[in-house]
Amino acid sequence: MTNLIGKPLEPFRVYGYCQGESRQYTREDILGSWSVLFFYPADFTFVCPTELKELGQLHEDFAREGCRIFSVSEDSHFVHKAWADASETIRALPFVMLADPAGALARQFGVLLEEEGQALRATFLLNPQGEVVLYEVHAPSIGRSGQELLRKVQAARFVAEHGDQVCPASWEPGAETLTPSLDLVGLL
Amino acid sequence: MEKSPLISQELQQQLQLLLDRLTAPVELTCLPGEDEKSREMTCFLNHLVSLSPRLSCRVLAPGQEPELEAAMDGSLLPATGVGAPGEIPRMIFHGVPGGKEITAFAGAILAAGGGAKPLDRATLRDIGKVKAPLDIRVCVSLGCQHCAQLVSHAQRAAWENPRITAHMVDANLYPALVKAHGITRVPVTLVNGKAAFSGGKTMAELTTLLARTF
Repeated sequence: MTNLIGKPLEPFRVYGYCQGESRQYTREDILGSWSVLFFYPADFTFVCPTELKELGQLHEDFAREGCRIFSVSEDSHFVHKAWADASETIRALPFVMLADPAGALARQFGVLLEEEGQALRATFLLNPQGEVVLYEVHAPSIGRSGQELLRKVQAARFVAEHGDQVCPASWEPGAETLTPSLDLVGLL
Repeated sequence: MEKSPLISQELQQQLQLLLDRLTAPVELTCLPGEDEKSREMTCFLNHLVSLSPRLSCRVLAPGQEPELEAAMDGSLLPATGVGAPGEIPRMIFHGVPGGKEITAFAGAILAAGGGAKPLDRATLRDIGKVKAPLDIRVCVSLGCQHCAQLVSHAQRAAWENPRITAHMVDANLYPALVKAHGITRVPVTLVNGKAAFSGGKTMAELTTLLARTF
């Protein structure tokens, strides 16, 4: 399997739909801030709206982290609109639903199922330079957690800001004191 | 004397090597609570002072010395100060300095006892730029490699500048503090009660931050 960490976002041009409005989006619309590309198999399916709804509910939390969300499926933006017209949940989504019917985006991230014409359930976090800093790919029937994604975004941002000079905290009240490990080098 | 399980034979030999470098007496002042960590700490200190005639330890009862208790922040027990005998310590450890923090604790003892490596003139000048009272609290995990180094720098700054007090806080033991400041990673440094910065810092970075901000 090809490693996608560090992969730069390549140029693309697709339509996107958000709350009644459609327009074209390009690579330049993604660059400049942290972005999540949230691929899902198809509109009008069951797992997808539950995932998308949770992301919609967490949209402000992601925004506070300076991170934008773009959902992506291989449907056209007309289908996105039809889904929004048919579903209150989808209509309320505050983020852009990118339409990738030609597979340009899914193919560049290696998540297009060519025969089905659908994307795998996959998530890519891009840094402001458009490089992949983390990703996860699920079998189509396994849903994702927006909360977990938010935690990962926070971690990625934190590491980007502070380099590797921090340690993850794992508070365990009442934990045993660690065996002392003396570093004489700095002291002598 | 009860031997501390935290001080293995190997660690004792290493500590002995360091304590033999002390040229001045060092007093360890402990404010214990009534919990297991406090018992662990007093046992650790008793074992430690047995390794050097220049080390002494005072264990204070609650209310015995209110001024000292306030200066060392008796709300985060156990608290152990490292300093010269009779002085209010400015290098303070909340919790038990196990894991990586033993290096910071040993460094504080060396600083107070005249056995630490001398600092260069530029660093001393930068530390001296702090003119107002500063209370630095480095919130750590004992296994965090970045934390102990930052604690060492902060403690050394405190030793060199009497306006500075530096605390190591084992955040694991004080969930209310963790919650109040939303600490999710370590080290997080609180300065005069407010979260000031995150991550490890070199001595130069620390003194620059302190001089610029405070």
